[in-house]
Amino acid sequence: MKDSEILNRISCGDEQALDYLYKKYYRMMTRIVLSNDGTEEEAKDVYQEALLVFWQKAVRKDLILTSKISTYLYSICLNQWRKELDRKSRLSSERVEGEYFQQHDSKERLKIVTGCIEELGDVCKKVLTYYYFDGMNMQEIANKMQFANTDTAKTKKYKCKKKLDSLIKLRYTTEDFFD
Amino acid sequence: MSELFQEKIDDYHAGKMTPDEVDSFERELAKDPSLLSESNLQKEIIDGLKGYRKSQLKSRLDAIDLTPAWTSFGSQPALIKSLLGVSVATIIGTGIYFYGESDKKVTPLSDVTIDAPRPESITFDRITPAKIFDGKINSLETTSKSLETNQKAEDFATDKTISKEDKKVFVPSFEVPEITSLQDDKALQTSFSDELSGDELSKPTRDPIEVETEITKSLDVRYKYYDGKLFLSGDFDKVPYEILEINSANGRRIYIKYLNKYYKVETTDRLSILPEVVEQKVIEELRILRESK
Repeated sequence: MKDSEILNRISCGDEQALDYLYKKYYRMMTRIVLSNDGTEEEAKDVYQEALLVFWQKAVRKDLILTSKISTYLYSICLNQWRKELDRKSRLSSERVEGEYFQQHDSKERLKIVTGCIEELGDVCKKVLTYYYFDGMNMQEIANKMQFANTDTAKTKKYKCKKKLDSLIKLRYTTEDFFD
Repeated sequence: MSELFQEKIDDYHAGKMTPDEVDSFERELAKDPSLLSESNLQKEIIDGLKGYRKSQLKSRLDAIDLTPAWTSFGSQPALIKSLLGVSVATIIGTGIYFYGESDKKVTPLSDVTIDAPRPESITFDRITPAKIFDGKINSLETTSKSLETNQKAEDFATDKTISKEDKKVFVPSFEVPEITSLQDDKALQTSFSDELSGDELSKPTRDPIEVETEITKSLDVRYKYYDGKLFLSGDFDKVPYEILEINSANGRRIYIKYLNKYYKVETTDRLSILPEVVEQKVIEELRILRESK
């Protein structure tokens, strides 16, 4: 599959094209981390993060590719791993401790939201995640979800978001998030 | 929260506002703490949705088999079994091929091809085993038999049902009688060891010879003889052949008379030219046998 085809398919939200891309460059990209004191797990995580950045940019049509996809992914992986190495070297024990608590709170809140998202129906989950993570517009969501038009998609998104908000507010007070 | 306010918050957190819009919205938030609280909550929810989707996609990527093609090749049991089967079959096939080749070298008959004769009936005289008892020829039966000769000589020669162990080695022995006393039957007396009872004479080893013939235009008579089966190949259209068979305790002796000549049949599974009997004593003996039948 050529780069142009991959990009075209990914920009349409084709997850199988993402699978193909992930497998195609896995060894090449993870070697960056593995050959620079990283573990297999770290290498995989860096590559997945880089690929999801590529995915988001492609779906949002924010990406104008001037090089090969592999070159683009390579640069993202390299930058991410440099940042991670810097973060590791800069962190003192105090800061690690502070970061630990910060991360712990963040994880707890994420757990609460995730629990409420799980309670949504499949359509709502897709509409909301396509909108907030993938960055699809209403037309793209309508096409992907086979809605009648963009208004339907817009209404669906609003209702689903309202339902999620109410689920979260019903079970948890705002103080649970910010105390 | 109205749909319009929801869109504003979404745009704010998605970075879709212009700098002026951002300033305006932040001033609005600063004035109203409940609005700020709502905005912060919405950020958490949006981050939660993003995280949810990200974990979905990562789970999808984690489920992909990343084993390279050359290693996954070896991890497929069905494929390994198939290849193993093919390999074993190849080895066995090669073994059989070369073993078969070596067998062919032992059996030079493989390069002998004799065309099957026209299906026709051939009449010839056939002498059943002569019974020798008390030194006398008790009987010498001559029978005629019609034989269908539409089988290839090669088939006959390569009869797979006959193993080498099963083949009875026929060692003809012949006690040459005194020519002077051939006029009486004393010359044909057998030794003591040859004296057998009637039961012994009728043992299966005295079974009649199975004869097959093939008509050719060759003047040479070719033959094969083993395990009681005799194959003859020659120009028998004009002159029939005659089989002379003598059974004794020493074994069975077979001769063929053809065109006024006597030939000795010896055990062989190779198509050979019949050896002519040249010993005068033997020829004389056979002549007497023929006349006394």
